[in-house]
Amino acid sequence: MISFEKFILPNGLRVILHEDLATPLVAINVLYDVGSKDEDPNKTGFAHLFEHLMFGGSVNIPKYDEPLQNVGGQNNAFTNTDITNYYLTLPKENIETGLWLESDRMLGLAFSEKSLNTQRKVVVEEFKQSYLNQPYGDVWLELRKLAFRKHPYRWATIGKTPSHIRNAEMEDVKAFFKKHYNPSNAILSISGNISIKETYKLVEKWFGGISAGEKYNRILDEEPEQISARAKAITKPVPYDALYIAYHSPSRLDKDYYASDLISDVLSNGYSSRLYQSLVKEKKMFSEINAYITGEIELGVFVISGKIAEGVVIEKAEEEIERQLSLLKTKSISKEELSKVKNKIEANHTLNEMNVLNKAMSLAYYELLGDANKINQQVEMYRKVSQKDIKRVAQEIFKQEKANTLYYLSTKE
Amino acid sequence: MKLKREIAPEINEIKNIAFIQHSKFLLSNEIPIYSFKSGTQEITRIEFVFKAGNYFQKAPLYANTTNRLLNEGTNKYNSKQIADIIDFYGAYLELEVDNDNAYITLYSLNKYLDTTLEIMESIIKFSNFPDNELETYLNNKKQAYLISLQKVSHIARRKFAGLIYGETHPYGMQVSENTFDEIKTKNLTDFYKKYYSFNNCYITISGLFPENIYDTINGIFGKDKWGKGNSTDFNKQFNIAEKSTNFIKVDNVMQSSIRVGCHTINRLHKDYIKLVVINTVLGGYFGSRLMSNIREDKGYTYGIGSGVASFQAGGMFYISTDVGAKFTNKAMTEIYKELDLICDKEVSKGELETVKKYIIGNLIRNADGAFAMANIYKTIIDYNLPEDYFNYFISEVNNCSAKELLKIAQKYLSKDKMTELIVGQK
Repeated sequence: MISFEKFILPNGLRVILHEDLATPLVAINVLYDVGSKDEDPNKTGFAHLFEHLMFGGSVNIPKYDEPLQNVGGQNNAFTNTDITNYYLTLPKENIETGLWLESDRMLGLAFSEKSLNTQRKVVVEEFKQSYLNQPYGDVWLELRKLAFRKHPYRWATIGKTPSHIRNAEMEDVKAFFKKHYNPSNAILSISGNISIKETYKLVEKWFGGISAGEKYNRILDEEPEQISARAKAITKPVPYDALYIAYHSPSRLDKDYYASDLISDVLSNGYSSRLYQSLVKEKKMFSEINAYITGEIELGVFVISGKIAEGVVIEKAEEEIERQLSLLKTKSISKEELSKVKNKIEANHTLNEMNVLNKAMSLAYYELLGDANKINQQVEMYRKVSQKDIKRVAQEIFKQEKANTLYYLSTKE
Repeated sequence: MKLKREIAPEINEIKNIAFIQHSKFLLSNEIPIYSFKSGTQEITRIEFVFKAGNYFQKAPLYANTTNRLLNEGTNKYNSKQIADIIDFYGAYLELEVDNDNAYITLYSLNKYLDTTLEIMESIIKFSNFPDNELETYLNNKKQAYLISLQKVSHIARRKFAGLIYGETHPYGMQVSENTFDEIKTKNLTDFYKKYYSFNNCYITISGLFPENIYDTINGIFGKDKWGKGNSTDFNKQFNIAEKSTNFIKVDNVMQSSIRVGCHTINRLHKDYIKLVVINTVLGGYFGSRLMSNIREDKGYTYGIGSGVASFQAGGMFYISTDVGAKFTNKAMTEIYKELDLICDKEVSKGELETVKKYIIGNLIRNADGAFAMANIYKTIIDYNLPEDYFNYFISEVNNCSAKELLKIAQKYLSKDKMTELIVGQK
């Protein structure tokens, strides 16, 4: 049970404060409700590039990192399809330095040409390092294109191509900031060794004066219902074939999200899971195999991915996966197996709550989903999922006509 | 009243760091057990540390494979039964090996400790390395290895250890495709018998563990002298490799992976903490010189860093980065420029202050919570350091001067010492 207090400043900034006196640290998390789904299809990768620019100095502070490091702090950020999330931890004595830094970059950026120039290059290198210059690295670029036709989830957060990043202009940067980086579009959560009262005062002091800005009204292209299966084969100089199957699945906000998450655990969480035991250990069709959900807010994706074992034909391996999915659709899961995946969820949740930064991040994220208190209801939501739910949701997700299959073939043969 | 946003809030000194204290006991058979009690969640972390790392292996992957096969079958449970029980009780069992030690770590909800500890007992004391499990494991590892050969950074990391320590040194032994075909069950059972024994390990427990945990653990692990091994030590001498310049050409790559570094002192040396400080200035944090120059100014890379890794048989200093292929030579020039600079000129007062604050802040982060504290405390056990070592570390960091650091840089970071490796294009 995580207790917290929630405030909303007059400018619309949502503030969540959680006191944990056992740690000498404070974590400050600022979540902006903007992700790559909010990008122009011809200027993709921008939300993430923008995240880099947030470290290039703000209106009153030339360098973001230096003052933070000066007080023993550390920070980072990530961008995904839904959100851009900035976080820092620092010794409790210097919490105000953190609030000063975060509030100034919410107020305004320095918008330096030099920073834009450099970060374009840095992000292009990140693009290469994480996606293009490693075996199977571009899978998600391909898989999103295959699984989505209209929805902005059809491109990955890094962008469709490095050229979109190279072409980003200062005008775009300024417009993006104005549109998305407003208090009304942000959630500030703070956890750690704080006094709620004192911290609230400091938050008001540093964030209260930032003007609300225009409220962003999100309208996204809708994804049409998939009516027939899609498949694509690509051949690359990788040593082994790999198989990726993506299905649309319940979004993070859907009541069936929990069942879909448990299904992915039944299939591949831990060494006792079905896919690992049957397809890696017993039948030796795959050298590694995974099932997971993206848990995105607008629409979910359920992915099964595996590297085919030496000497195995990819079609045979695919049949085995289908057999496993069909088992979930036709045979009820045992009570014991369902308890197993639920126990794992509970333990995982407990471990997560031990870390001050995780708590700050989760509180902000659940607030974005509608209510920070959802953090305290998660285990219960999973516990409620029944054996029937598992079967029903598996039937809804794993429909033949809804499969998006990517055959990632080796040039070796 | 208008806020003065251009002025930073006052910096408050961190007066004292309250490290979580531990208790030390000996089991009946004298296995040391260190406990760190703190937290709010009913969950316990139990870790066994054996002196059974790479240092002790006769051929590559012996240490690692032995460790990873521990949970693939015992005299009582087969691989699937172990997985079923661990997963059913929501526990995590982690197996890991580094250059010096082998680790078996259990995270378990307190209410299930009786059952999860029984599994832990079985894999530590009665593991039996079934042939078919070993075969599957090695086939899959071989596949993963062949895939990783397509990543320049993986090739560089593997090769570099060999260049620094020499390929006959256990820290530097090279894996090849054949390695996976050559490992036999007997190699693992021999290694297991020799190194996984009561007199070659210690235990840490952390979290909000139940009161009776010592009795429970003593009952399982403390009663008899299990394992046939002898207490081992880090006393073999090895020839350390000569410095060298190396280029492994890989066609059709977008980035090159770079390593520059040398063999260096470990944590037992009196200069070690100062070396950590000057390394942090050079490449140990986001605001470091290498990051500021090569990423934030030039944009050649997504990231660059340097580090001092301490191992029992000697440390390693390294700079590591992946850069755009067309920037390879330019990045090398800048790396050597930074090495020259750090050996030529004293660090400025402001920069040194920032680095000191950063290092101490980082120590506080790494010590936050019982699990984290148990984790970093292993350094003190492994190197037999005084109990107040972390306070000593803090005062050493705070007291070192720019003048001393310049000498340390000249002594340990001179570019004449450095072995260089480029994997990719230049």
